[in-house]
Amino acid sequence: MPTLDGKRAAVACIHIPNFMWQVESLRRPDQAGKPAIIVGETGANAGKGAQSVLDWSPDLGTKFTRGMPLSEALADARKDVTLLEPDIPLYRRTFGEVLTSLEARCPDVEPDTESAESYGLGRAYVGIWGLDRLYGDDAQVVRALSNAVNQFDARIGVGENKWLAYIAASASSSGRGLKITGEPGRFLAKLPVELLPIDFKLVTRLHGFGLHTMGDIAALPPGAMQAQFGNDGTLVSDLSNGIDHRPLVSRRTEETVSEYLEFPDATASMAMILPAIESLLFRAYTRPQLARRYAREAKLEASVLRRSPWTMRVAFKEPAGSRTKALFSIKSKLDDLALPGPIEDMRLTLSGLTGEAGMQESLWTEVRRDQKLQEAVSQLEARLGTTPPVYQVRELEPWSRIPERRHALVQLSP
Amino acid sequence: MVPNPGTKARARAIKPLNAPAPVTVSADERGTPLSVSYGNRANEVAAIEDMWKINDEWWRGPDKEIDRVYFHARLADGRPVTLFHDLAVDEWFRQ
Repeated sequence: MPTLDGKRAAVACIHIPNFMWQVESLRRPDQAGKPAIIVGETGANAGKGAQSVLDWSPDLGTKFTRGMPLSEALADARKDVTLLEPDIPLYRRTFGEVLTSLEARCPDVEPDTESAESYGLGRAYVGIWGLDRLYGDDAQVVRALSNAVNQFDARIGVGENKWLAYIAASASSSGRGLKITGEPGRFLAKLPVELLPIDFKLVTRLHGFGLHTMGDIAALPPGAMQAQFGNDGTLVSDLSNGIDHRPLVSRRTEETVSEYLEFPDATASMAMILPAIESLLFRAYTRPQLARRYAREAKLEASVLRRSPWTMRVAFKEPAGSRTKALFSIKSKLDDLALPGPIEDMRLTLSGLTGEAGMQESLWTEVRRDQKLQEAVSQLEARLGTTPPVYQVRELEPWSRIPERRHALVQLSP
Repeated sequence: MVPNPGTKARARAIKPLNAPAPVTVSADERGTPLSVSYGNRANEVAAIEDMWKINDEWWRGPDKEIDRVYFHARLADGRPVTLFHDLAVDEWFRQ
Protein backbone atom coordinates (compact mmCIF):
# COMPACT_ATOMS: atom_id res chain seq x y z
CA MET A 1 0.00 0.00 0.00
CA PRO A 2 2.14 2.96 -1.20
CA THR A 3 1.37 6.42 0.17
CA LEU A 4 1.30 9.74 -1.64
CA ASP A 5 4.89 10.52 -0.75
CA GLY A 6 6.03 7.16 -2.20
CA LYS A 7 6.91 5.56 1.14
CA ARG A 8 5.47 2.25 2.22
CA ALA A 9 2.32 2.67 4.24
CA ALA A 10 2.12 1.65 7.83
CA VAL A 11 -1.08 0.38 9.33
CA ALA A 12 -1.61 -0.39 13.00
CA CYS A 13 -4.16 -2.92 14.16
CA ILE A 14 -5.63 -2.52 17.62
CA HIS A 15 -7.06 -5.84 18.63
CA ILE A 16 -8.96 -6.18 21.90
CA PRO A 17 -9.41 -9.92 22.34
CA ASN A 18 -12.63 -11.07 24.02
CA PHE A 19 -13.90 -7.50 23.79
CA MET A 20 -17.44 -8.28 24.99
CA TRP A 21 -16.13 -10.13 28.00
CA GLN A 22 -13.69 -7.31 28.79
CA VAL A 23 -16.58 -4.82 28.76
CA GLU A 24 -18.59 -7.11 31.02
CA SER A 25 -15.69 -7.44 33.48
CA LEU A 26 -15.31 -3.65 33.57
CA ARG A 27 -19.02 -3.29 34.26
CA ARG A 28 -19.22 -6.14 36.77
CA PRO A 29 -15.95 -6.22 38.72
CA ASP A 30 -17.28 -9.19 40.72
CA GLN A 31 -17.23 -11.26 37.51
CA ALA A 32 -13.62 -10.41 36.68
CA GLY A 33 -11.40 -13.46 36.88
CA LYS A 34 -14.32 -15.91 36.83
CA PRO A 35 -14.93 -18.15 33.80
CA ALA A 36 -17.86 -16.82 31.76
CA ILE A 37 -19.46 -17.32 28.37
CA ILE A 38 -21.55 -14.60 26.73
CA VAL A 39 -24.45 -16.29 25.02
CA GLY A 40 -26.94 -14.95 22.48
CA GLU A 41 -28.67 -15.51 19.21
CA THR A 42 -26.46 -14.79 16.25
CA GLY A 43 -26.25 -15.07 12.47
CA ALA A 44 -28.73 -17.42 10.78
CA ASN A 45 -30.06 -18.54 14.16
CA ALA A 46 -31.16 -15.05 15.22
CA GLY A 47 -34.82 -15.01 16.21
CA LYS A 48 -35.11 -18.82 16.27
CA GLY A 49 -34.24 -19.17 19.93
CA ALA A 50 -31.03 -21.14 19.28
CA GLN A 51 -28.31 -19.86 21.62
CA SER A 52 -24.72 -19.72 20.54
CA VAL A 53 -21.42 -18.44 21.90
CA LEU A 54 -20.66 -14.74 21.31
CA ASP A 55 -17.62 -14.35 23.55
CA TRP A 56 -15.89 -15.94 26.51
CA SER A 57 -13.37 -15.22 29.24
CA PRO A 58 -9.76 -15.89 28.20
CA ASP A 59 -9.19 -18.42 30.99
CA LEU A 60 -11.48 -20.83 29.12
CA GLY A 61 -8.76 -21.27 26.52
CA THR A 62 -8.89 -21.31 22.73
CA LYS A 63 -11.23 -24.23 22.17
CA PHE A 64 -14.26 -21.99 21.60
CA THR A 65 -15.26 -20.29 18.36
CA ARG A 66 -17.83 -17.53 17.89
CA GLY A 67 -21.16 -18.88 16.69
CA MET A 68 -20.53 -22.28 18.31
CA PRO A 69 -23.81 -23.81 19.62
CA LEU A 70 -24.18 -23.38 23.37
CA SER A 71 -24.75 -27.10 23.95
CA GLU A 72 -21.42 -27.87 22.28
CA ALA A 73 -19.65 -25.15 24.27
CA LEU A 74 -21.06 -26.36 27.61
CA ALA A 75 -19.80 -29.87 26.90
CA ASP A 76 -16.26 -28.45 26.74
CA ALA A 77 -16.57 -25.82 29.46
CA ARG A 78 -15.79 -26.05 33.13
CA LYS A 79 -18.66 -26.68 35.50
CA ASP A 80 -18.31 -23.36 37.32
CA VAL A 81 -18.74 -21.32 34.14
CA THR A 82 -21.25 -18.42 34.27
CA LEU A 83 -23.50 -17.70 31.31
CA LEU A 84 -24.03 -14.00 30.61
CA GLU A 85 -26.67 -12.38 28.43
CA PRO A 86 -25.16 -9.96 25.91
CA ASP A 87 -25.66 -6.21 26.05
CA ILE A 88 -24.87 -5.42 22.42
CA PRO A 89 -25.88 -1.70 22.63
CA LEU A 90 -23.41 -1.24 25.51
CA TYR A 91 -20.63 -3.06 23.63
CA ARG A 92 -21.28 -0.92 20.54
CA ARG A 93 -21.30 2.28 22.58
CA THR A 94 -18.09 1.33 24.37
CA PHE A 95 -16.35 0.41 21.12
CA GLY A 96 -17.54 3.73 19.64
CA GLU A 97 -15.81 5.47 22.57
CA VAL A 98 -12.63 3.46 21.87
CA LEU A 99 -12.72 4.56 18.21
CA THR A 100 -13.25 8.21 19.23
CA SER A 101 -10.34 7.95 21.63
CA LEU A 102 -8.12 6.51 18.86
CA GLU A 103 -9.25 9.26 16.47
CA ALA A 104 -8.01 11.83 18.97
CA ARG A 105 -4.50 10.42 18.40
CA CYS A 106 -4.65 9.42 14.71
CA PRO A 107 -7.31 10.66 12.29
CA ASP A 108 -7.56 7.56 10.03
CA VAL A 109 -9.41 4.92 12.04
CA GLU A 110 -11.39 2.09 10.50
CA PRO A 111 -13.41 -0.37 12.62
CA ASP A 112 -13.10 -3.92 11.32
CA THR A 113 -16.70 -4.58 10.34
CA GLU A 114 -15.76 -7.81 8.58
CA SER A 115 -15.63 -9.66 11.85
CA ALA A 116 -19.40 -10.01 11.69
CA GLU A 117 -19.65 -12.84 14.22
CA SER A 118 -18.36 -10.46 16.90
CA TYR A 119 -20.65 -7.65 15.64
CA GLY A 120 -17.60 -5.85 14.22
CA LEU A 121 -16.40 -5.06 17.73
CA GLY A 122 -12.96 -5.22 19.27
CA ARG A 123 -10.75 -4.65 16.24
CA ALA A 124 -9.76 -1.47 14.43
CA TYR A 125 -7.14 -0.37 11.96
CA VAL A 126 -5.30 2.94 12.16
CA GLY A 127 -3.33 4.55 9.33
CA ILE A 128 -0.12 5.72 10.99
CA TRP A 129 1.95 6.89 8.02
CA GLY A 130 3.26 10.41 8.43
CA LEU A 131 2.66 10.41 12.17
CA ASP A 132 6.37 9.94 12.96
CA ARG A 133 6.79 13.70 12.55
CA LEU A 134 4.22 14.24 15.26
CA TYR A 135 5.12 11.48 17.68
CA GLY A 136 8.67 10.50 16.79
CA ASP A 137 9.10 6.90 15.65
CA ASP A 138 6.62 4.02 15.30
CA ALA A 139 7.20 2.95 18.89
CA GLN A 140 5.97 6.34 20.11
CA VAL A 141 2.91 6.06 17.86
CA VAL A 142 2.15 2.61 19.27
CA ARG A 143 2.54 4.01 22.77
CA ALA A 144 0.07 6.80 21.98
CA LEU A 145 -2.43 4.25 20.62
CA SER A 146 -1.90 2.03 23.61
CA ASN A 147 -2.71 4.95 25.92
CA ALA A 148 -5.97 5.46 24.04
CA VAL A 149 -7.18 1.96 24.97
CA ASN A 150 -5.44 1.61 28.33
CA GLN A 151 -8.57 0.44 30.14
CA PHE A 152 -8.54 -2.72 27.99
CA ASP A 153 -6.11 -5.55 27.52
CA ALA A 154 -5.30 -4.65 23.91
CA ARG A 155 -2.79 -6.04 21.40
CA ILE A 156 -1.22 -3.71 18.86
CA GLY A 157 0.49 -4.73 15.65
CA VAL A 158 2.03 -2.71 12.84
CA GLY A 159 2.49 -3.84 9.26
CA GLU A 160 2.50 -2.68 5.66
CA ASN A 161 -1.17 -3.55 5.23
CA LYS A 162 -4.20 -4.44 7.28
CA TRP A 163 -3.61 -8.18 7.16
CA LEU A 164 -0.02 -7.97 8.37
CA ALA A 165 -1.01 -5.49 11.06
CA TYR A 166 -3.71 -7.90 12.25
CA ILE A 167 -1.31 -10.86 12.28
CA ALA A 168 1.24 -8.78 14.20
CA ALA A 169 -1.43 -7.79 16.74
CA SER A 170 -2.53 -11.43 17.14
CA ALA A 171 1.06 -12.48 17.77
CA SER A 172 1.90 -9.65 20.17
CA SER A 173 1.53 -9.90 23.91
CA SER A 174 -0.55 -7.75 26.22
CA GLY A 175 0.60 -4.13 26.44
CA ARG A 176 3.34 -4.54 23.81
CA GLY A 177 3.35 -3.71 20.12
CA LEU A 178 4.80 -5.88 17.39
CA LYS A 179 5.91 -4.66 13.97
CA ILE A 180 6.41 -6.87 10.94
CA THR A 181 9.28 -5.61 8.82
CA GLY A 182 11.37 -7.11 6.04
CA GLU A 183 9.95 -10.19 4.36
CA PRO A 184 6.51 -10.92 5.76
CA GLY A 185 6.51 -14.39 4.20
CA ARG A 186 9.11 -15.60 6.70
CA PHE A 187 6.99 -14.37 9.61
CA LEU A 188 3.81 -15.91 8.23
CA ALA A 189 5.33 -19.24 7.13
CA LYS A 190 4.92 -21.01 10.47
CA LEU A 191 1.48 -19.65 11.34
CA PRO A 192 -1.47 -22.09 11.17
CA VAL A 193 -4.17 -21.71 8.51
CA GLU A 194 -6.76 -21.26 11.27
CA LEU A 195 -5.66 -17.61 11.50
CA LEU A 196 -6.86 -16.89 7.96
CA PRO A 197 -10.19 -14.99 7.81
CA ILE A 198 -11.99 -17.79 5.97
CA ASP A 199 -14.84 -20.20 6.52
CA PHE A 200 -14.25 -23.13 8.87
CA LYS A 201 -15.13 -25.58 6.06
CA LEU A 202 -12.36 -24.17 3.87
CA VAL A 203 -9.90 -24.57 6.74
CA THR A 204 -10.87 -28.26 6.92
CA ARG A 205 -10.40 -28.62 3.16
CA LEU A 206 -6.95 -26.99 3.36
CA HIS A 207 -5.95 -29.51 6.03
CA GLY A 208 -7.31 -32.24 3.77
CA PHE A 209 -4.84 -31.17 1.11
CA GLY A 210 -1.98 -31.23 3.62
CA LEU A 211 -1.83 -27.42 3.84
CA HIS A 212 -1.43 -26.82 7.57
CA THR A 213 0.55 -23.59 7.67
CA MET A 214 0.62 -20.41 5.62
CA GLY A 215 4.10 -21.43 4.48
CA ASP A 216 2.59 -24.56 2.87
CA ILE A 217 0.17 -22.35 0.92
CA ALA A 218 2.80 -19.75 -0.02
CA ALA A 219 4.94 -22.50 -1.53
CA LEU A 220 2.22 -23.25 -4.10
CA PRO A 221 1.66 -21.11 -7.21
CA PRO A 222 -1.42 -18.83 -6.88
CA GLY A 223 -2.91 -20.35 -10.06
CA ALA A 224 -3.04 -23.80 -8.46
CA MET A 225 -4.83 -22.41 -5.39
CA GLN A 226 -7.29 -20.54 -7.58
CA ALA A 227 -7.96 -23.63 -9.72
CA GLN A 228 -8.74 -25.70 -6.63
CA PHE A 229 -10.55 -23.21 -4.36
CA GLY A 230 -11.76 -20.44 -6.70
CA ASN A 231 -11.78 -16.86 -5.40
CA ASP A 232 -11.14 -18.07 -1.85
CA GLY A 233 -8.00 -19.77 -3.15
CA THR A 234 -6.68 -16.47 -4.53
CA LEU A 235 -7.42 -14.72 -1.24
CA VAL A 236 -5.75 -17.43 0.82
CA SER A 237 -2.69 -17.42 -1.46
CA ASP A 238 -2.37 -13.61 -1.31
CA LEU A 239 -2.74 -13.46 2.46
CA SER A 240 -0.26 -16.28 3.02
CA ASN A 241 2.27 -14.24 1.01
CA GLY A 242 1.49 -11.11 3.04
CA ILE A 243 -0.39 -9.43 0.18
CA ASP A 244 -3.52 -7.45 1.08
CA HIS A 245 -4.88 -4.81 -1.29
CA ARG A 246 -7.79 -3.71 0.89
CA PRO A 247 -7.58 0.06 1.42
CA LEU A 248 -7.97 1.69 4.81
CA VAL A 249 -11.33 3.45 4.80
CA SER A 250 -11.73 5.90 7.66
CA ARG A 251 -14.83 5.73 9.77
CA ARG A 252 -17.58 8.18 8.91
CA THR A 253 -18.36 10.07 12.04
CA GLU A 254 -21.97 10.95 12.53
CA GLU A 255 -23.27 13.74 14.69
CA THR A 256 -25.88 12.49 17.11
CA VAL A 257 -27.77 13.81 20.11
CA SER A 258 -28.33 11.36 22.93
CA GLU A 259 -30.35 11.60 26.15
CA TYR A 260 -30.77 9.08 28.95
CA LEU A 261 -33.04 8.49 31.92
CA GLU A 262 -33.66 5.79 34.51
CA PHE A 263 -37.09 4.71 35.71
CA PRO A 264 -37.62 4.62 39.48
CA ASP A 265 -38.97 1.07 39.04
CA ALA A 266 -38.91 -1.26 36.05
CA THR A 267 -42.07 -0.64 34.03
CA ALA A 268 -43.86 -2.02 31.00
CA SER A 269 -46.69 0.50 31.16
CA MET A 270 -47.06 2.85 28.22
CA ALA A 271 -48.51 5.42 30.64
CA MET A 272 -45.00 5.66 32.13
CA ILE A 273 -42.94 5.06 29.00
CA LEU A 274 -44.56 7.65 26.72
CA PRO A 275 -44.03 10.61 29.10
CA ALA A 276 -40.44 9.40 29.52
CA ILE A 277 -39.90 9.46 25.75
CA GLU A 278 -41.51 12.90 25.59
CA SER A 279 -39.18 14.14 28.31
CA LEU A 280 -36.13 12.72 26.49
CA LEU A 281 -37.29 14.36 23.25
CA PHE A 282 -37.78 17.68 25.05
CA ARG A 283 -34.26 17.51 26.46
CA ALA A 284 -32.81 16.51 23.08
CA TYR A 285 -34.58 19.27 21.14
CA THR A 286 -33.47 21.94 23.59
CA ARG A 287 -29.81 21.01 23.01
CA PRO A 288 -27.90 23.61 20.94
CA GLN A 289 -26.94 20.95 18.34
CA LEU A 290 -30.59 20.66 17.37
CA ALA A 291 -31.41 24.37 17.30
CA ARG A 292 -33.17 25.06 13.99
CA ARG A 293 -32.19 21.58 12.84
CA TYR A 294 -34.03 18.39 12.03
CA ALA A 295 -33.44 14.72 12.82
CA ARG A 296 -34.02 11.94 10.33
CA GLU A 297 -33.86 8.99 12.70
CA ALA A 298 -34.44 8.12 16.34
CA LYS A 299 -33.14 5.12 18.21
CA LEU A 300 -34.53 3.96 21.53
CA GLU A 301 -32.53 1.59 23.71
CA ALA A 302 -33.64 0.18 27.02
CA SER A 303 -32.36 -2.30 29.58
CA VAL A 304 -35.01 -4.95 30.13
CA LEU A 305 -35.39 -6.57 33.54
CA ARG A 306 -33.59 -9.95 33.47
CA ARG A 307 -33.53 -10.00 29.66
CA SER A 308 -31.41 -8.79 26.75
CA PRO A 309 -31.62 -5.05 26.04
CA TRP A 310 -34.35 -3.80 23.74
CA THR A 311 -33.70 -1.53 20.77
CA MET A 312 -36.09 0.22 18.40
CA ARG A 313 -35.17 2.34 15.41
CA VAL A 314 -37.62 4.84 13.92
CA ALA A 315 -36.86 6.45 10.57
CA PHE A 316 -38.90 9.63 10.16
CA LYS A 317 -40.67 9.91 6.83
CA GLU A 318 -39.88 13.61 6.86
CA PRO A 319 -37.14 15.05 9.09
CA ALA A 320 -38.59 15.92 12.48
CA GLY A 321 -37.83 19.44 13.70
CA SER A 322 -39.83 19.32 16.90
CA ARG A 323 -40.51 16.92 19.70
CA THR A 324 -44.22 16.69 18.83
CA LYS A 325 -43.48 15.48 15.30
CA ALA A 326 -40.85 13.05 16.51
CA LEU A 327 -43.13 11.79 19.29
CA PHE A 328 -45.96 11.18 16.82
CA SER A 329 -43.79 8.89 14.68
CA ILE A 330 -42.37 7.07 17.69
CA LYS A 331 -45.86 6.57 19.15
CA SER A 332 -47.13 5.15 15.86
CA LYS A 333 -44.36 2.58 15.85
CA LEU A 334 -44.75 1.74 19.54
CA ASP A 335 -48.45 0.98 18.97
CA ASP A 336 -47.51 -2.04 16.86
CA LEU A 337 -44.85 -3.35 19.22
CA ALA A 338 -44.84 -5.37 22.39
CA LEU A 339 -42.02 -4.75 24.84
CA PRO A 340 -40.09 -7.89 25.81
CA GLY A 341 -40.53 -7.07 29.53
CA PRO A 342 -40.37 -4.29 32.13
CA ILE A 343 -37.71 -1.75 31.22
CA GLU A 344 -35.32 -0.14 33.68
CA ASP A 345 -33.93 2.80 31.75
CA MET A 346 -34.12 4.42 28.34
CA ARG A 347 -31.68 6.08 25.98
CA LEU A 348 -32.85 8.16 23.04
CA THR A 349 -30.43 8.94 20.20
CA LEU A 350 -31.38 11.28 17.38
CA SER A 351 -29.25 10.98 14.26
CA GLY A 352 -29.20 12.08 10.64
CA LEU A 353 -29.20 15.71 11.73
CA THR A 354 -29.92 18.11 8.92
CA GLY A 355 -30.41 21.82 8.53
CA GLU A 356 -32.91 21.43 5.72
CA ALA A 357 -36.09 23.14 6.78
CA GLY A 358 -37.82 23.10 3.39
CA MET A 359 -39.68 20.23 1.86
CA GLN A 360 -39.76 19.47 -1.83
CA GLU A 361 -43.29 19.99 -3.03
CA SER A 362 -44.61 18.31 -6.12
CA LEU A 363 -45.50 20.38 -9.16
CA TRP A 364 -48.46 18.08 -9.79
CA THR A 365 -50.11 18.26 -6.39
CA GLU A 366 -53.23 16.40 -7.55
CA VAL A 367 -51.18 13.42 -8.72
CA ARG A 368 -49.14 13.47 -5.53
CA ARG A 369 -52.27 13.61 -3.39
CA ASP A 370 -53.74 10.60 -5.20
CA GLN A 371 -50.50 8.68 -4.78
CA LYS A 372 -50.47 9.40 -1.05
CA LEU A 373 -54.08 8.26 -0.76
CA GLN A 374 -53.38 5.07 -2.70
CA GLU A 375 -50.38 4.35 -0.50
CA ALA A 376 -52.47 4.85 2.64
CA VAL A 377 -55.16 2.47 1.31
CA SER A 378 -52.53 -0.17 0.43
CA GLN A 379 -51.06 0.07 3.93
CA LEU A 380 -54.54 -0.26 5.46
CA GLU A 381 -55.25 -3.29 3.27
CA ALA A 382 -52.00 -4.93 4.36
CA ARG A 383 -52.76 -4.24 8.01
CA LEU A 384 -56.44 -5.31 7.97
CA GLY A 385 -55.93 -8.26 5.63
CA THR A 386 -59.03 -7.27 3.68
CA THR A 387 -60.25 -4.49 1.44
CA PRO A 388 -60.59 -1.42 3.67
CA PRO A 389 -64.00 0.32 3.63
CA VAL A 390 -62.72 3.53 2.07
CA TYR A 391 -65.01 5.20 -0.47
CA GLN A 392 -64.99 8.12 -2.79
CA VAL A 393 -67.93 10.15 -4.10
CA ARG A 394 -68.55 9.61 -7.81
CA GLU A 395 -70.96 11.40 -10.10
CA LEU A 396 -73.40 8.95 -11.68
CA GLU A 397 -76.18 11.00 -13.31
CA PRO A 398 -75.62 14.57 -12.13
CA TRP A 399 -78.35 15.75 -14.50
CA SER A 400 -80.96 13.40 -13.00
CA ARG A 401 -84.09 14.93 -11.48
CA ILE A 402 -84.06 12.11 -8.90
CA PRO A 403 -81.57 13.16 -6.16
CA GLU A 404 -80.40 9.66 -5.10
CA ARG A 405 -79.26 8.91 -8.64
CA ARG A 406 -76.91 11.86 -8.99
CA HIS A 407 -73.98 10.66 -6.81
CA ALA A 408 -72.83 7.42 -5.21
CA LEU A 409 -70.12 6.14 -2.89
CA VAL A 410 -67.75 3.85 -4.76
CA GLN A 411 -64.95 1.70 -3.32
CA LEU A 412 -61.63 3.50 -3.62
CA SER A 413 -59.38 1.20 -5.59
CA PRO A 414 -55.66 2.05 -5.51
CA MET B 1 -74.59 -15.86 19.87
CA VAL B 2 -75.06 -14.00 16.60
CA PRO B 3 -75.10 -16.50 13.74
CA ASN B 4 -72.78 -16.01 10.80
CA PRO B 5 -74.93 -14.60 7.98
CA GLY B 6 -72.65 -16.28 5.44
CA THR B 7 -72.55 -13.16 3.29
CA LYS B 8 -69.42 -11.37 2.22
CA ALA B 9 -68.58 -7.89 3.43
CA ARG B 10 -70.03 -5.59 0.80
CA ALA B 11 -67.12 -3.22 0.66
CA ARG B 12 -67.17 -3.18 -3.11
CA ALA B 13 -70.89 -2.42 -3.49
CA ILE B 14 -71.95 0.98 -4.84
CA LYS B 15 -73.74 2.93 -2.13
CA PRO B 16 -76.18 5.59 -3.36
CA LEU B 17 -75.72 8.96 -1.72
CA ASN B 18 -78.66 10.93 -0.45
CA ALA B 19 -80.97 7.90 -0.34
CA PRO B 20 -84.54 8.64 0.91
CA ALA B 21 -85.32 7.78 4.54
CA PRO B 22 -88.95 7.11 5.56
CA VAL B 23 -90.53 9.61 7.97
CA THR B 24 -93.95 10.17 9.46
CA VAL B 25 -95.66 13.34 8.28
CA SER B 26 -98.96 14.86 9.17
CA ALA B 27 -100.36 16.93 6.33
CA ASP B 28 -103.38 19.09 5.72
CA GLU B 29 -106.14 18.25 3.25
CA ARG B 30 -104.13 19.80 0.38
CA GLY B 31 -101.12 17.55 1.12
CA THR B 32 -98.93 20.28 2.62
CA PRO B 33 -96.85 18.96 5.55
CA LEU B 34 -97.62 20.44 8.97
CA SER B 35 -95.24 18.39 11.12
CA VAL B 36 -92.62 15.74 10.49
CA SER B 37 -91.41 13.02 12.91
CA TYR B 38 -87.99 11.38 12.79
CA GLY B 39 -85.54 10.32 15.46
CA ASN B 40 -88.40 9.83 17.97
CA ARG B 41 -89.18 13.51 17.81
CA ALA B 42 -91.95 15.49 16.15
CA ASN B 43 -90.91 18.72 14.46
CA GLU B 44 -93.37 21.39 13.50
CA VAL B 45 -93.07 22.85 10.01
CA ALA B 46 -92.76 26.63 10.20
CA ALA B 47 -92.70 27.43 6.49
CA ILE B 48 -92.71 25.81 3.06
CA GLU B 49 -89.98 27.57 1.08
CA ASP B 50 -90.27 25.65 -2.18
CA MET B 51 -92.33 22.93 -3.78
CA TRP B 52 -91.92 20.93 -7.00
CA LYS B 53 -93.16 17.77 -8.62
CA ILE B 54 -91.33 14.90 -10.33
CA ASN B 55 -93.21 12.48 -12.57
CA ASP B 56 -90.78 10.22 -14.36
CA GLU B 57 -90.35 6.72 -15.73
CA TRP B 58 -94.12 6.27 -16.04
CA TRP B 59 -93.39 4.10 -19.05
CA ARG B 60 -91.92 1.38 -16.76
CA GLY B 61 -95.33 0.57 -15.33
CA PRO B 62 -97.22 1.49 -12.13
CA ASP B 63 -94.77 -0.43 -9.84
CA LYS B 64 -91.67 1.43 -11.01
CA GLU B 65 -93.16 4.81 -11.85
CA ILE B 66 -91.67 7.74 -9.96
CA ASP B 67 -94.33 10.20 -8.84
CA ARG B 68 -93.18 12.53 -6.06
CA VAL B 69 -94.17 15.92 -4.68
CA TYR B 70 -91.17 17.64 -3.07
CA PHE B 71 -91.29 20.26 -0.29
CA HIS B 72 -88.34 22.28 0.87
CA ALA B 73 -89.46 23.22 4.37
CA ARG B 74 -88.07 25.11 7.35
CA LEU B 75 -88.77 23.60 10.76
CA ALA B 76 -89.79 25.59 13.82
CA ASP B 77 -86.26 25.36 15.26
CA GLY B 78 -84.83 26.90 12.07
CA ARG B 79 -83.41 23.77 10.42
CA PRO B 80 -84.11 23.19 6.72
CA VAL B 81 -85.46 19.83 5.53
CA THR B 82 -86.36 18.35 2.15
CA LEU B 83 -89.38 16.03 2.17
CA PHE B 84 -91.30 14.28 -0.54
CA HIS B 85 -94.62 12.54 -0.74
CA ASP B 86 -94.36 9.39 -2.86
CA LEU B 87 -97.75 9.34 -4.55
CA ALA B 88 -97.16 5.89 -6.04
CA VAL B 89 -97.09 4.21 -2.58
CA ASP B 90 -98.59 7.07 -0.53
CA GLU B 91 -95.61 7.37 1.86
CA TRP B 92 -93.44 10.26 3.06
CA PHE B 93 -89.63 10.41 2.89
CA ARG B 94 -86.91 12.79 3.94
CA GLN B 95 -84.07 13.41 1.53
